[in-house]
Amino acid sequence: MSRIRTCTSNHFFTGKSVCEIDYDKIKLVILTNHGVKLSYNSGEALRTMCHAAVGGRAYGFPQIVNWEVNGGEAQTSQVGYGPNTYNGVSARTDTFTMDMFRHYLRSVILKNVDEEFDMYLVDYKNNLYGLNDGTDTLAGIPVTIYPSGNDHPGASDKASLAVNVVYTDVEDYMLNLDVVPLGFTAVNYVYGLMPVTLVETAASSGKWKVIEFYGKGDATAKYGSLLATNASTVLDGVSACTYDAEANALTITLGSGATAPALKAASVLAGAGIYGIEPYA
Amino acid sequence: MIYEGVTFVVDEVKKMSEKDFVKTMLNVFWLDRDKETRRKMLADVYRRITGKK
Repeated sequence: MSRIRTCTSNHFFTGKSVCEIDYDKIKLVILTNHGVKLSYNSGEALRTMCHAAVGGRAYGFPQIVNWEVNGGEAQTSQVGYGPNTYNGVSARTDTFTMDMFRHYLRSVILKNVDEEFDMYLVDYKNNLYGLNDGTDTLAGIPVTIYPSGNDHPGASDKASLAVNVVYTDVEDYMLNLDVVPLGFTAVNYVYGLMPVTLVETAASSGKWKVIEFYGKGDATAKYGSLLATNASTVLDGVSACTYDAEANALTITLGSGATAPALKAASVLAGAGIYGIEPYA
Repeated sequence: MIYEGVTFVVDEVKKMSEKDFVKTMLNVFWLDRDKETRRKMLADVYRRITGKK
């Protein structure tokens, strides 16, 4: 028999679910490096992935307060005097506006415009959206990103920052979009990390502060006590440490051969219950 | 090891002699107590960590 063509599956279902999905407003955008799947079996697994080493990390953005879609519409065309026929989907870019303007976040987004990411979305009902790739775990939606927004308030607008996501293949997205219920409150477990440095308040004072690298916010009061208590596991180059609440500083004696204390990686910090920061490198 | 609110990194302390340990820490921690009390506390910490008597 000669080789024959077999049609790919094109079943046509028009029924509805006994348990309809209530598609709610988007609350969270999570990116992973392209090809890296999100761990979402539990909140703890998701939080662990948000603090993993770069490459296998999940990047949680601050809370989303608005979503707008641009494009992604079916295109039709005709040949001669024939009927209109479907001819693909127009390119689509979604704009996710975050809760407030942050100059450092815009900078980081801009630095990564050439990077390929996979995107997951979480709505207010803690439904997770991704792509059904035939496995039990959702794949991310391939996208690239760029920033937009206003640095300062205008006459009618507040300062704002949006991350725009450009769908690499919007038709593939529409064909394979799927949703799973997370079963936990995602916002409690999704983190983006802020790089921090340890800065001595005065030379040889032995008093150190935890300072955010961008914007130089003093994070000592938030993290100092936890860092001191877990100094054995989360700090390098330290022989003893305590948190001085009055001075809002870590009192540190250096270990042998060390010239400065150093924070360990975000994964180690998270293991000690210190979330949301990593050492600036 | 946490002793009176101060976390001592065991591996680092073990690298030090008792004299160096006490000298390094004496005027850093528990400054609300007199020097002799601090010296005794540090000696106690060192012995607990190193097992030396």
